[in-house]
Amino acid sequence: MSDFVVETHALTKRYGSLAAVDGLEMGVERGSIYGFIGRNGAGKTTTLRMLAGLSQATSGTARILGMEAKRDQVGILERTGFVIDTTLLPWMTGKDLVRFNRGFFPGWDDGLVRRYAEALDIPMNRAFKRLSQGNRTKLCLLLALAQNPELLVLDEPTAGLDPVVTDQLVRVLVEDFANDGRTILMSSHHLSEVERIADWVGIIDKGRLLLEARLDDIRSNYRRLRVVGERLPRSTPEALAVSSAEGVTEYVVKAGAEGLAAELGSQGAIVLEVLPLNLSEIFLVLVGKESHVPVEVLA
Amino acid sequence: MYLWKYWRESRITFGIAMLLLAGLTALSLRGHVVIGGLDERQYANVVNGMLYAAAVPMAIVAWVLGSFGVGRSLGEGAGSYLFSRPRPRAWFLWLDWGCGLGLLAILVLLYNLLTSWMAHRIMRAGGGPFSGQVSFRDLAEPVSLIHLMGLNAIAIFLFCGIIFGVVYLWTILVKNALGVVMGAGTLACYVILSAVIKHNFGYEMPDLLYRVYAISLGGVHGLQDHLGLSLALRAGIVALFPIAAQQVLNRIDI
Amino acid sequence: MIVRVHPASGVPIYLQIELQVKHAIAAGALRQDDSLPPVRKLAAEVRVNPNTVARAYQNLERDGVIRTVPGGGCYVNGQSPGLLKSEKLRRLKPLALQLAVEAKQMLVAEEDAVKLLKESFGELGRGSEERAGDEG
Repeated sequence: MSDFVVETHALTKRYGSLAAVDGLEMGVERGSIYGFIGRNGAGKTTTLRMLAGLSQATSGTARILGMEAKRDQVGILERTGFVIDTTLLPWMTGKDLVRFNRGFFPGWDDGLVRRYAEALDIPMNRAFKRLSQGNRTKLCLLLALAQNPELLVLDEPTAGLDPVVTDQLVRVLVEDFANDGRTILMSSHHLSEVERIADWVGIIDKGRLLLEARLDDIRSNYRRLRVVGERLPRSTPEALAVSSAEGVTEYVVKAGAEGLAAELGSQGAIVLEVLPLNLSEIFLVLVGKESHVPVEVLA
Repeated sequence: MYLWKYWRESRITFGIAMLLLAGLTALSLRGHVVIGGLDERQYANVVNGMLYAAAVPMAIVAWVLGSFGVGRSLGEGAGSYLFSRPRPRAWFLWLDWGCGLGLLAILVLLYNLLTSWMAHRIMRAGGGPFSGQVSFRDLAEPVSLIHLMGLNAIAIFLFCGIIFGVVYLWTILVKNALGVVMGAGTLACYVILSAVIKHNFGYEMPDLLYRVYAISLGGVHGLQDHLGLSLALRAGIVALFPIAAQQVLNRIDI
Repeated sequence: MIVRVHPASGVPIYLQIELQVKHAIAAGALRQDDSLPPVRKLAAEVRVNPNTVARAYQNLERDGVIRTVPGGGCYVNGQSPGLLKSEKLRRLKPLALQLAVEAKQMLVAEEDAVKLLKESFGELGRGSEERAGDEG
């Protein structure tokens, strides 16, 4: 049984009649990098804000590092680095912010401050309000990293950043942070970064988790079958989605592609192709307009 | 480190307030040197005048100071950062409130000390020894200057406390430093309402500024009745505002 | 060591790394007893998850391609140490089958497929030749 650093059960956040987060069941394993992906407005930020204790859940539970969100929030915040909003105190410089932040964390490491300031090339003597978006994000990340947390929770860290800065961030995350059992939970709608570094992905849409799986599992076992034939089954046990267009039926399965292909073939259907799926393709299947079959959450 | 933050944000206001009070003191000094020697009864009027003279600028300072802290930070968008630091939300609030009142206390105290010292000088300048006592019309015993100064200070401090508390609460409610506008509006409404009620119903609602001395058209009479009780009640009311702010802050989504 | 991964290709990244290491060894770019970069360093250079690199290294070690030394550090092994020829052939069989299947699908003749195979060996150069002294 894995050790989850973040787990939610039936986590829900309603605004009036609208459920921004709707019965979310999510688990982040210790030592992993979890890519929390979804469209704009899918509920990623709302979820992370509940984990940070900034928002109150309407119902359900969220546990971080074994502690309950909101109730044990101070304990959580001592061991977790949150970068939710990249807005800090406007008049403070990087140096001021380090000084301000240091006092909150006994495990603070000034050596890390120096290292990251250099690695990320952050101007530490400029007032925050005069920093570019890229520098702001980098500074927020620096503050979170120098805290020496066990868990890093990042809300769309690469949003609005150019490719060079994005690359710098990714490098710092994988080189310095991701190891020794430390965990990263990051939300994004930039799939390419997630696809590079995530162990796990959780795809959220309209407040619900559509899929939670290992990325390598998706690469190794998830397949798209393109089949032509009569009276083809409308669903199969392992199918995530089934769709038909122009005489071709597509099955997106999470395992057993070969077996299904053989079975359909034996029933007289012609299997045109068995294709692998990358993250972008899975995402579009589940979240894009082409999905037809309701999908289940995987363990 | 949070105290440092509060100081950095409010130090300009504090500096201006100090200058203001220094200027006010200098003005008062000039004004009363002209008047010259006073007897102790006239002196009571002068001291009372000084009380009000300080109340106006101090009110403004309290009003401005109420805009610093959590509400302002929320308005600047730094709320997510601030409240993802490992402290209960109330911690930030009480530090804000404590610092603000602390700065106000320093200003009020300095002003009163300065005023008393000046008053002492004036009385001396009028010729003859100054007993250090001040007489009021319907009090049998005169009151010492120190005592009077102390009461002045407390009265102005509580007055500022109410203003500060109301304004600060509003900055939390609207999640913005512009809560000061609502705060000013609320206080103005109260003043107007009191005047209306007094005019129409003859009932006097408690003044924002507690007048230590009973005042009538004829001058200053004596200390208000139930002085200690009234002051304690006011102190309680002053404390209610941050408590209310805490309830609000703990429940809102940042 | 230059490793380039294609995260969106649908092939697990650890597998891509393994294949590239094996390719480099087969082509002679990596020789016996050359060291591989530490997990974290390679992960940083390639911008991938260290867990991924660790898994690739583990698999390579399991396959006998590299060895780890107690003090840390990974080194390239001599070509296929200690594996029976029959075991090696067993491992290659799925790849051979895949080539045959694809060729047949596309109606490519057997001798053309074999020629393709020979050409591939040629591209790799001398590093791929069977050494005398392997256990039979």
